[in-house]
Amino acid sequence: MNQFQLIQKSGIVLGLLAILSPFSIQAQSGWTKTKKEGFYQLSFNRFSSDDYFTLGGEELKTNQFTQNSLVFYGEYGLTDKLTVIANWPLQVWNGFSSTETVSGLGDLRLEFKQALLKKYLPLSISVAPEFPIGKANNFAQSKLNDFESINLPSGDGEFNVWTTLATSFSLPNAPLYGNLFGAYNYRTSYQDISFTNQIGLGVELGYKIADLVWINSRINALTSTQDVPVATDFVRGDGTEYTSYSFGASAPLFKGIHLSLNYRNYADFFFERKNLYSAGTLSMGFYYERKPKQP
Amino acid sequence: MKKVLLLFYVAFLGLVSCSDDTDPVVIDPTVPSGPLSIQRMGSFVDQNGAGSTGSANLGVDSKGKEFLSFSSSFNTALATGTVTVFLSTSATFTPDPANGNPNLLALGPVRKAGENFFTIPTGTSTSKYTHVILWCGSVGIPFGNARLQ
Repeated sequence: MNQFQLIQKSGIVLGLLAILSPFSIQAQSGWTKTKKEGFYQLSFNRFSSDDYFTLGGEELKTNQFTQNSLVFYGEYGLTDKLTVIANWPLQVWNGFSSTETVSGLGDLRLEFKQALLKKYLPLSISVAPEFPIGKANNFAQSKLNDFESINLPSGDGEFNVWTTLATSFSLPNAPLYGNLFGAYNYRTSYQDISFTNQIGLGVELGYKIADLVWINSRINALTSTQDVPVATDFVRGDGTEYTSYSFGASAPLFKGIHLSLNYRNYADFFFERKNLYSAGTLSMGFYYERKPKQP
Repeated sequence: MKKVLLLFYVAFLGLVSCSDDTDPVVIDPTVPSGPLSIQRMGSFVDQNGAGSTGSANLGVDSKGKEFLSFSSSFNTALATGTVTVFLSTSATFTPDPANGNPNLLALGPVRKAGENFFTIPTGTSTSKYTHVILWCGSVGIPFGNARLQ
């Protein structure tokens, strides 16, 4: 079933000044890798927006905010039932039209996914600590004057843990698969500022065209477990909520290397956009799948 | 002649050494001298979930110098970086760079919660300004405003 886990992409969620809770939940599945099986992707993501949604859900026009990122995503089967996943923004570039662009390393998310059921109903549970090794403070100097600057961190500075339950299906006679997951993000604090925990939900459908190109479509939603009426810290995604949709495609290029493309945008279907910059994110990546030789 | 010069020199040293050294009085022009005589004041209205609270006071100190002060309960979203304080002729930040921003008076950045003082430039009349605006210039959005009355 691992061939169905083709497009793994890192979407970027922006809180007020970005990053906020910088990196969104992945497309989660109930499948795990087989032992020594690997999936490694490097992708470039671009996002630019002047539409900011406040904590109250109001839409504001602001100066243009742009974020580019280079992200590594990898999966490796430690055993047939346990997969380790790394999601690591190697570099994140942030800037407003009114400021210089600053860059830095992002936070490392390390996920351990255990298969609960494999045969008839793939079901997995994963625990993903996110280590705050990115730049928690990264000030961009204003271009308008010499006394203004703004904090555009590439990491949120806090340790948090995602716990995810996911299930999947595939059809026996058609190249069609689906994923469904629910997740809980336990957030901690940064410099005595505590953050609100989050709940994530997602559904995905994928289909293979002409036995060559995988296409998929996803809906993801994120909400906070408590209302956040006032931002304790705008730039770290506290109170961020959204519903997002995405479309992706991937095709083989050469000897296990594939090209993947993805487009993601935001809407208000399940949860309204809050503390978020809203616009489309374009992603392009290359991934390599390594499958162990069959005995 | 040498003796006379030597005598003057010794007398000079004696005068210098006998004078009482007093600590110099340092006047900080960024804070009022004595309590402010408040002329107008207003409470901050939060904007865009920035958490702006507290009040702004416009007044003169004991030497007649005008200041804008923030109360000890002042706060706003300072973690984003710099928030700049403006006096404005309305609650809306309306820049007009081509004409020298006639409806705005920039007083400077605010970087800490609690009591803050901003010096009104000498020779500037504040009578036409009706509001204090907290403006996040990098993003281009207001964090709050206070109507002075």
